[in-house]
Amino acid sequence: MSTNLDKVIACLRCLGLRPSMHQYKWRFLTQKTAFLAKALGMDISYSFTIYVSGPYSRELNCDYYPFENKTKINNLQTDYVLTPLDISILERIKGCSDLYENQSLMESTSTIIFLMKENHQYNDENIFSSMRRLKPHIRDTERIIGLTKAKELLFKDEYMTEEIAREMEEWDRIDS
Amino acid sequence: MLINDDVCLLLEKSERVNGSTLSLTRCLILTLLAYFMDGIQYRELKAALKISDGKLISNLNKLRELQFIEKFEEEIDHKKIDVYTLTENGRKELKRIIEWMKFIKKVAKEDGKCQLILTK
Repeated sequence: MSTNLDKVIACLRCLGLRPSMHQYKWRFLTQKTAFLAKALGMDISYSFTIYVSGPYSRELNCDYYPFENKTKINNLQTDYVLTPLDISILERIKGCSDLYENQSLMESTSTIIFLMKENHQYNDENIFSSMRRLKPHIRDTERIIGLTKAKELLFKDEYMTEEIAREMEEWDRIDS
Repeated sequence: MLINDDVCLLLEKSERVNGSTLSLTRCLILTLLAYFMDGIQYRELKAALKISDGKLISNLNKLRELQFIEKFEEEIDHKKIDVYTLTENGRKELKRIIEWMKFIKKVAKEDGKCQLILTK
């Protein structure tokens, strides 16, 4: 039976990443990738905290801590077969590839998604004030771009009303 | 076990704990680093503990001097960021503190008569 760690490895492989788990950067990106995949609907049962280095899962950390599991991740060894839903989720994450080039943006986007998921009543203002309190080291520009990325990732096809589609068409016409 | 034996053990265990680590900030740093095993960035610690740079740096330096924590530099978005991790010594020290605190709780709880006197 596939474990949660197998699912995370399958995510990394599908995203075309080449992790090197002895590096802090890759442990950071693995944590955030696992969180994003779970938040967008993948069946991963790790629980995450928002505080300090969050979104962060201690259970995931314990799973990849043993040397043999770090090697397993580095070699992208997994027996988990991604479902069509998993693939569609990972395609959405792939569409925001700049998250993997800018760690602050990844931190900002994943934190905002955590806040949105946990507090459905939050508006943009609430999110910004929570972000300032939780992550004062993240710059305003990264918070703003992070919010846009979070909305992009959480967007569902059923949200596309005729009114929004019309408005988007008008914007597209301006570009051309 | 008689309460006197617990008191004796409490005193014995307190000798094993390093007094320099027994401050709220230092205990918090050790505990957070035990939880976040990957390491914590300096800026994350500062945001979490809500203390000044001076106070944070002096506490981190003391814990490094005692070899309870380690610092390494990490390049994040083209900036050098300090990241701290717990050492094996730090993990052992935290364990000793927890054991000692458990004993404080036990001694304070078991001596019901003493609590009664204190509340009067």
